[in-house]
Amino acid sequence: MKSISKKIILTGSFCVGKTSLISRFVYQRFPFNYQTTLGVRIDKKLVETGDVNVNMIIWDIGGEQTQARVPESYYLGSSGVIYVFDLSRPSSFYNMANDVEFIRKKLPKSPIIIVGNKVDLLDERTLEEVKSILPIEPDFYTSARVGNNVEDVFLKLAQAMI
Amino acid sequence: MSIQDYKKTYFYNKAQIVLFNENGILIDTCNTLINMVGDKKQSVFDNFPFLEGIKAGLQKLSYEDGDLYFPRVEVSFQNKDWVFDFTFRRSKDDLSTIVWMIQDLTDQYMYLLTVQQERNESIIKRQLLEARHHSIVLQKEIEHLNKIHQIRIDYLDKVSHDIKIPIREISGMSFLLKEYVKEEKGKEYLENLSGAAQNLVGMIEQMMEISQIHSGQIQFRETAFILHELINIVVNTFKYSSKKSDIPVKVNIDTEVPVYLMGDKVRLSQILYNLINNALKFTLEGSIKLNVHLKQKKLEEKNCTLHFHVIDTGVGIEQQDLLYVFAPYHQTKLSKKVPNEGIGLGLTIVKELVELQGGTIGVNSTPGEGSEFYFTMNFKLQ
Ligand SMILES: Nc1nc2c(ncn2[C@@H]2O[C@H](COP(=O)(O)OP(=O)(O)OP(=O)(O)O)[C@@H](O)[C@H]2O)c(=O)[nH]1
Ligand SMILES: [Mg+2]
Repeated sequence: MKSISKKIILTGSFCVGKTSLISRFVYQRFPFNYQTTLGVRIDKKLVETGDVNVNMIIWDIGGEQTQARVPESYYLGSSGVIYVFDLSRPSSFYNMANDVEFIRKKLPKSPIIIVGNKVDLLDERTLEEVKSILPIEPDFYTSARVGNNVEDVFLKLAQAMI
Repeated sequence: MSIQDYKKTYFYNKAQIVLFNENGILIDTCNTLINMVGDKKQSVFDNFPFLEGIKAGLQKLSYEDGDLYFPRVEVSFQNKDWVFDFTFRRSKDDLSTIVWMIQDLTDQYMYLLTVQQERNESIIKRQLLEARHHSIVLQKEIEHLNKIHQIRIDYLDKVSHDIKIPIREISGMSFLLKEYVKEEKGKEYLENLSGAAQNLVGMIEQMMEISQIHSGQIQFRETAFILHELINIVVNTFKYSSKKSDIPVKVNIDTEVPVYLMGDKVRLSQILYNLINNALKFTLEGSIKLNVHLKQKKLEEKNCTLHFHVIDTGVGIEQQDLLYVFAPYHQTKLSKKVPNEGIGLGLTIVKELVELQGGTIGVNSTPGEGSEFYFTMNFKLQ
């Protein structure tokens, strides 16, 4: 089977659960304590998509309140982006439209998957309310804690990159 | 030791230089931080996922591009967390060689990490407090509005109650007056007068009812009743009422509909009464049908869902008005063709009563042919 290597980045505001999503996906673990990511940390995982095995090199980027503050070199050679925000914290998605626009300009050829995380913290009604004020509709509602949709996020990105 | 020596040892221990070619083959390194000696034959791209991810970018890096700088790269090895700064550059002497400078800044960054962590946590805490403050303020506003609302309802209740007394008096007096009026014309006027007074009482009762519903003060009382009897009583009210009409109300209850039910019979009567009353109001010829079907019956849970249809051959409702038939104070244009009674709350009350009891309600209509109002309601089986 064909196998390719792809660098992807996880980015977004701080404390939204980027590191937790990776931890859930790569190690099937969920870290309860918040330990901020200072700069960037790299992990690897093989994603099987039917015809091609994608060897994902996952760059977990420390959250910033706007993407403009992320060191430019971190974007270098990224084939895909997962943009994460926290459904329970509006300040993590107010700036989403600008952020996504910024990333699209930096990486015009790379697919961007938008993820609303911590869906476990919202009851159905609150989720509906939050949905109605989101600047962009996310591709996935996830919970790194419970595991909802986490695999799907990475799988969809892998498929979009091949 | 000389200053030069101090400087040398200090920086020697904090930095490593790695030279490799475009294929990642290691050319040389000082091994100060990361031992790479064993890797000489292997591509550094395969050994360091970090490099693997930026392989193409490194291969494209030219001497003119200068430094490619990656601050704060977190790496775990030898059971320790390190934070490095990486800098890449094309070698000036040999353009096929890439120079990789690794600086160990773990100690400095650990301090920064604490600062950043505290900053992030305090921002989140502040946002949480703001949100809580916000919701407390909102809560207070809601309480205040509720208070005002309650004052209005109480006021409306009192006024409605007070108004009803003189109106009843008018009604009663006009009834008594009939004895003394001999002329036909006078009798007719008195009849109209008492009819108008009765309408007025009806309107006030509807207003009170709706304000009770909206303030959540309405309660449903479950009692046993016999469906056929209840429907008979409702239908007969129209037969013997002062507004006696020639339009017949035909009742058809499917045989599988359970007869002995438990539910709020007063509210069910009220719903049926309002719907039939509404149908009669808009029907100048033809008939009204009341059909009852069984939608669902769960014997083990001892309950059932019934489907009621009130079908008329009246003036019908225009498409654009269908959306608003249940809206308060909405009278369709067609209602101008028929004698105006009530203030358009009858159907609103019906909808609220049905939905408060967990039922659904809807309407179909063809202008000129008639309308069909239908609703479902759950009952317990006796
Ligand atoms: N309830 C809930 N908590 C979550 C979820 N994902 C992450 N968290 C919590 O949120 C906090 C932050 O998670 P991280 O994964 O460190 O967030 P991050 O986006 O990597 O943060 P930075 O590295 O600072 O940018 C931690 O306390 C996690 O336990 C989730 O799906 N549900
Ligand atoms: Mg992180």
